[in-house]
Amino acid sequence: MIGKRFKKQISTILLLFFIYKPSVLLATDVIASSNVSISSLSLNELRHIFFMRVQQWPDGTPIKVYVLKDSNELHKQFSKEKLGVFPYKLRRLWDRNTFSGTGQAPIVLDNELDMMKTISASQGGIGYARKKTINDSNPSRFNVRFINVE
Amino acid sequence: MIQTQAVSTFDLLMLNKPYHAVLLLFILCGSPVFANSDFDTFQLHGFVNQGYFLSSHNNVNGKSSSNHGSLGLTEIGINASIRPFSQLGFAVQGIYRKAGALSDEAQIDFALLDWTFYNTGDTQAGLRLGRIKNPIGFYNETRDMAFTRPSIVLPQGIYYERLRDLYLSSDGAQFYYNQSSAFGEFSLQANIGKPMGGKNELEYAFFTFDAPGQLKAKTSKLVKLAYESHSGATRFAMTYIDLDLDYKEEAYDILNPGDIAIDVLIFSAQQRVNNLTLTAEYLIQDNVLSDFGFLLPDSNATSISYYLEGAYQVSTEIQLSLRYDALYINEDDKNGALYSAMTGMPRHSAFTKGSMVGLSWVPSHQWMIRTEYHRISGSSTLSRADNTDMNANKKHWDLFALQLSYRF
Repeated sequence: MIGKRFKKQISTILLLFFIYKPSVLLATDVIASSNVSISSLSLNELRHIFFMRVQQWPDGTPIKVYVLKDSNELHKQFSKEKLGVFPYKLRRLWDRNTFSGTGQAPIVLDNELDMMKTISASQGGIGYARKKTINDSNPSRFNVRFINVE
Repeated sequence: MIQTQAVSTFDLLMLNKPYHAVLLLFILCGSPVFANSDFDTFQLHGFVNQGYFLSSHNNVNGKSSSNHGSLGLTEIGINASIRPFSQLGFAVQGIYRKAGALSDEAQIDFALLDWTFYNTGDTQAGLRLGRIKNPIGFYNETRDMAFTRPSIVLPQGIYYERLRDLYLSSDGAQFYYNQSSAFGEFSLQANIGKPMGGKNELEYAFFTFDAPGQLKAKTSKLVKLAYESHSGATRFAMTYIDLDLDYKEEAYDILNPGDIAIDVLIFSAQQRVNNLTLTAEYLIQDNVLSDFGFLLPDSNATSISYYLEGAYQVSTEIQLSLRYDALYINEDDKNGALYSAMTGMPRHSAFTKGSMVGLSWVPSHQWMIRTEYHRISGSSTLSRADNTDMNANKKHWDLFALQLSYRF
């Protein structure tokens, strides 16, 4: 009985794994510095942060926004899947901010590893990375917090 | 006789212009006075554009109609910004611009203090003080930054190069309000300020000649309402500008101290579907000239202009665009017959209609090469600075442009 149930569970897990593998492991996760005191953000709150509209975490720590280059696939994925906006909108917003003096732009990093290192080392930092990269890396090297987006 | 001018401490501190005060605050920010703030937010950005122009007739940005064309458009901008407190930011940008014989100067493009006095994330309200960019249509706020504009030469009826100084930025204040909703984001910007000084080109544009005195802009008002969908694919904007110019006469002037009242209304719309972006803007501008005396009778003309542009993203690096644009200085005199009778200038000085095909290549985040070809009918957008004999301008002409741009 138990064996049969176990087998069924295993096959369900395997099935789920094959169905969701790409989206679960390759999905982008929002990561933040360990000193950030919250564990979840609403979609709106996440947008406000990446649109550079809010500058502080609820505890008053300044927010530092990190992104990858516009052409980076992970950036495009994050933009569309997590923020629900086209990457060109983000670029337009940030360029308008920067070149009309009405705001600022996020700090652009070279790659995912850089992103995890920088956020680990920063105070109040926020960015994104793939679950797979985080899982594959030595956990002691990075000290980041996952932020759930609701 | 030697005239001496008293220099006050006020002048020495450079506080005689509003934007100088902002510059000073910027420097102060670097001092330990602001101990409990965040200086990691300091950012430095900039751009460099170099253009090349070749035309069959008529000059654009230098002697473009000469055999070898003109390298007469160079734009360099550098800006710095800092947000030491979440409610308070400072930003300053300097621009050097060489545009044919029209401009060869460095100036402060913006220098402002940004105070966001209300911010819930969904709603922001604030004030900006200092020298502020004028939010006109989709492109004026960042019109010199090549990566943010749709082509090398902006649609001239709306982003009229000859009146650039009036529209670029103003010294004064801006109130802004952003509201995020379930339908998308709405924003309001309301400016009040003094436009930057005009060049003689303004007089050629309004009078067709360089008068002895000078046209000076008075405090102007501007309101822009904008909407953008969450995804960014749909955008609408409406801009209203109320601008007045006073004529300061010289002794024995040929003109009386008259004034020009300008009211501008611009509608802007953009829709992107997959890789295709359609953009259109429409302008209605009332120009009322009064009290200049017998040489320049009172007049009231309505200018209209519009363009439709389609841009197709061929790949992530390459974009192809097509545009048609038109400008009529007086909508009741589209063929320029009346204009010609009044001013003695060719009929085609009263309109410009043109089609453009353009290609841009962005090989990396920081570099862009753009090229475009225009077929133009009319000469109303040509500057007097680059075309000293405006009567010799040709009606039909072609323009080829190439531009290399770098950003950081």
